[in-house]
Amino acid sequence: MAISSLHATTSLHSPCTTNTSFRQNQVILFTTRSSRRGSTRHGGGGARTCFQVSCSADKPVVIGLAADSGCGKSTFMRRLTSVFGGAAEPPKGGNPDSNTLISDTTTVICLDDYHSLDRTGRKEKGVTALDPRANDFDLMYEQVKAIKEGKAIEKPIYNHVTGLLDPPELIQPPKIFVIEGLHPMFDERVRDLLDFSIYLDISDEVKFAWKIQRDMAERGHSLESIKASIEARKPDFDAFIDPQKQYADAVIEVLPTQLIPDDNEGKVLRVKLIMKEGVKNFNPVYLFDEGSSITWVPCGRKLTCSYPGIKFAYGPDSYFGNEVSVLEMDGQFDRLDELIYVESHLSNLSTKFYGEVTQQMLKHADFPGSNNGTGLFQTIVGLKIRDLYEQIIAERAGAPAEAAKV
Amino acid sequence: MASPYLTSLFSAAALPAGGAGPGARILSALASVRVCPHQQRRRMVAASVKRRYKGTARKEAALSELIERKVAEATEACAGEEAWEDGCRVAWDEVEEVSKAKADLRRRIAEGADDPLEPFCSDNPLADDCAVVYDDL
Repeated sequence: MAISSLHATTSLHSPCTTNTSFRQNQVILFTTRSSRRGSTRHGGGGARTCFQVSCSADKPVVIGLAADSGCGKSTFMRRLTSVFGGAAEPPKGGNPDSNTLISDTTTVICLDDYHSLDRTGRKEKGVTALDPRANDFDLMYEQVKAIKEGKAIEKPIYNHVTGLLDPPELIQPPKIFVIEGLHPMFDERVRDLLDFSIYLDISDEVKFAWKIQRDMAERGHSLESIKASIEARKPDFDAFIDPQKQYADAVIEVLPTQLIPDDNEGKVLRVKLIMKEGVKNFNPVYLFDEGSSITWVPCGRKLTCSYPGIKFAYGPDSYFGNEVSVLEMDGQFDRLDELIYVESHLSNLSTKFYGEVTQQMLKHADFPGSNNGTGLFQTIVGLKIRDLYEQIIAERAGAPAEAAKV
Repeated sequence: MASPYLTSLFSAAALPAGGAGPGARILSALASVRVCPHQQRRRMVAASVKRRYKGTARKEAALSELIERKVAEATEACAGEEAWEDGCRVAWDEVEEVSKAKADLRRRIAEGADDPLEPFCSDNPLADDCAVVYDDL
């Protein structure tokens, strides 16, 4: 009877809320009590025999990104949303200080919104924003779980300008839901909800160089103040944020270059893409021969590079007890043909056509890191996430057909 | 910085269009004048002056002042301490938070085609923060 309309659906086992704003093909064979839309404090709570069927687009794929560079505004997020198409913008008509970014397919939220203490509260308690005591992980878990189940949430807003917690904003479940901030993988329950997780690991020297570039123009800042700010945050950072990298499916590690001796400007970078083996729907990128160890200098007879050149390395490794594959790039691209040459020698890129990585890099040539490994690996991870998303959607579409066969 | 050439351009175009006659004649006269490429580009920029809202200018000023104040507070809080005590660490964390917010605002202003408050102001044109403040180009 209604089995024929089950083609684009999710699993039949979880209760789905009705929501008039969703596009839905609803075929109700057997209903249970539906949970209140937008309720955050009560999770799913429906009976397991619900056969309510709705579009699979309602159930997002959830990605976690651990980064210390401010939420939803990092270059990585912009590259990621660009891979999926469309520009990410703040929600229209809402709080102008909202940290959320919304595009056609993707919604990026900032985990700072889950601060349990505002700036004054943290000062009184003597905790930094890095400290888990300043964050409400219960609320974070409930809301990410609700979104993952296809329900809308009323998410608080942390205003970085005033340092206060503003009234909540309504977030609808998108196709891809990204949680970005300092603690996406800190809480185990939240970690289990993530379909893919990334950690951006910036070494101290590079962090210092970047913060100098960022802050030196400000009145009030000096070399000493920037240095003091990094060092004062380091104990909390090492205790609470850094350990998350062992849980990440992909780590992008940014280090100073080894090609120029004593380079401390942080302009030329050595970037490692550390990819966990055995992650569902994720096939690590490799160079030449999967599983072997390679060192590759593309510059030579076929390709002329300017100083300091480019050097690649690839190989298996162990990272916090996990089997990983590491792809490393040191140096920078100066010309388009260097980029396309490198792309043509990498495998498992999950591109849809030859030159897609180069095209994405060129599209955002003005973004920082567009001429080195940071831009390259961020773009590649973006394509990998797209691939992961498509695989998950295909799986979901395949599952009900099999259930119907049984 | 508006050059005399540009201001005269605007005042000429703003003449009462009593009939499209005089205005159109002036514009077509201007169009027929060969201008240097860099002047032509300047004219294009002036014609699409970037709107700046009062709210953004206010936020910028507030954050700059906040950075200065927080750095001073942090330097004082950490003065004469050996290890990083609670008050000291929290103070520098606040400095980092406001520096990050300022850097993000600067980036949004520089990169976006519109003012960062555009989505909000297009829906609430009467809000105080949405009063328009032009920058001198």
